[in-house]
Amino acid sequence: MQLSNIRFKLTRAALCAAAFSVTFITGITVTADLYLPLKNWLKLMFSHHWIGKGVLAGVVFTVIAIIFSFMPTPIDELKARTLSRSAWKLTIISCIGALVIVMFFIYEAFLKH
Amino acid sequence: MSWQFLLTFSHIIGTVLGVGGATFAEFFYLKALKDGHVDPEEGDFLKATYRVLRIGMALLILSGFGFFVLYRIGGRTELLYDPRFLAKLTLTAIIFFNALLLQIKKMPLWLGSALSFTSWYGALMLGAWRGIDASYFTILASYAGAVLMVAFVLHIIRKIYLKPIPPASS
Amino acid sequence: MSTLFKTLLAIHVIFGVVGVIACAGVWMNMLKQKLPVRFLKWSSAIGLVSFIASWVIGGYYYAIYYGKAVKPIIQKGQYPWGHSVFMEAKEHLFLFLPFLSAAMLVALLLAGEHLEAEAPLKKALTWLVGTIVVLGAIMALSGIIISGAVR
Repeated sequence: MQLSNIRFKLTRAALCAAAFSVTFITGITVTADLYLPLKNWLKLMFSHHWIGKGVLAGVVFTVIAIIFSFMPTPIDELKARTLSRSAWKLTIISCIGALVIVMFFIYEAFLKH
Repeated sequence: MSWQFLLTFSHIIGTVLGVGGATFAEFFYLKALKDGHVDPEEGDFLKATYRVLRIGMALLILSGFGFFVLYRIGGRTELLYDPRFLAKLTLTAIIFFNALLLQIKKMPLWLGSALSFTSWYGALMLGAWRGIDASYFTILASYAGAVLMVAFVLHIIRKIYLKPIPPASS
Repeated sequence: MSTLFKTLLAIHVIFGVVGVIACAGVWMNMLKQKLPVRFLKWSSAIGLVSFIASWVIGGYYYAIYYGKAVKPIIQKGQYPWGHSVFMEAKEHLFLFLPFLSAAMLVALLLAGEHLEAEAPLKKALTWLVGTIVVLGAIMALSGIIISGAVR
């Protein structure tokens, strides 16, 4: 793949940062509902727990994107494979995250008590 | 001009483009297959028809969600659980996924065209038939029956229309 | 509901639906053999901008108005699961969409011209945009279910 190093690094950084953000959102959503002090802290810091989750996910995205854009680039032959693996990981993590969130709230609404 | 009028107007235009597009797509496709292959001019006609279909679908979806907003802010939220509304939403989803599966050739053509044809006419019928008193599942069961019937009719039409012409005896 | 919140709700829905339609356009065109790269980039950018706009406007409506005025009505009504399942899941899944569509846009902007030659990468990105569309459609349908429960 004749993709320049800078283009490769930025694309990989965006895909990996999105995967980390989605994981973070899933994790904090479930944790904050199970561990109320975390939800209260989010409310206290950001006026609403949902705003807090969004802002923190944005921070995770930015930090991870910066870290990944400084990571080494593979040889040209491996660039496409690396990017497609990152895209697949992001897709799978998003599907699992969505499923976890939906199942968690079904459990909270109907099965918890 | 009220929002209700604007939305109804766009909804009708979207449905007309969709129903017309689905009809012409079938017609052009049949005509193109008559001589065994789709030549560039016929291909252009088909592309234009599919574009019209997509515009119709976008208009239908946008105006449909416009109605949703209108019902919500107008306090008529009971209409959102109306079987007719939910059935129309289902048909719209079927139209979209059918188009997608046809694009990647994962949908057999006989079923794809029957689904597209029946879904568009079904959406038109649900829009026009205001007093319909049927549950969501009754509507969908009737729709499934209609798909099979349309597939059968289209099959017969194709068989008759595409029958090879016997060579003229000298 | 005041005119401000009615307007915010309407704009939130419109941007959300435009975002899903734009991403659906990307999805349909990613399935073609010859990719219209310029269209893919623009459509993907419209998707991202729409999702962010819908996110911010919907977020304001949700944080300021929904919790105080709408949630109690749903919880006391005939369909309390409209909030406890659909709204709870929707508000959190909605957070996924801007990040997913940002990643999609960056990939198309920087590697779009190479996708035709790199079938595995094209396939992976097609699945990614498909996930965005399906999640977006679930958001839109959840919105209808939640609104229908307000009575």
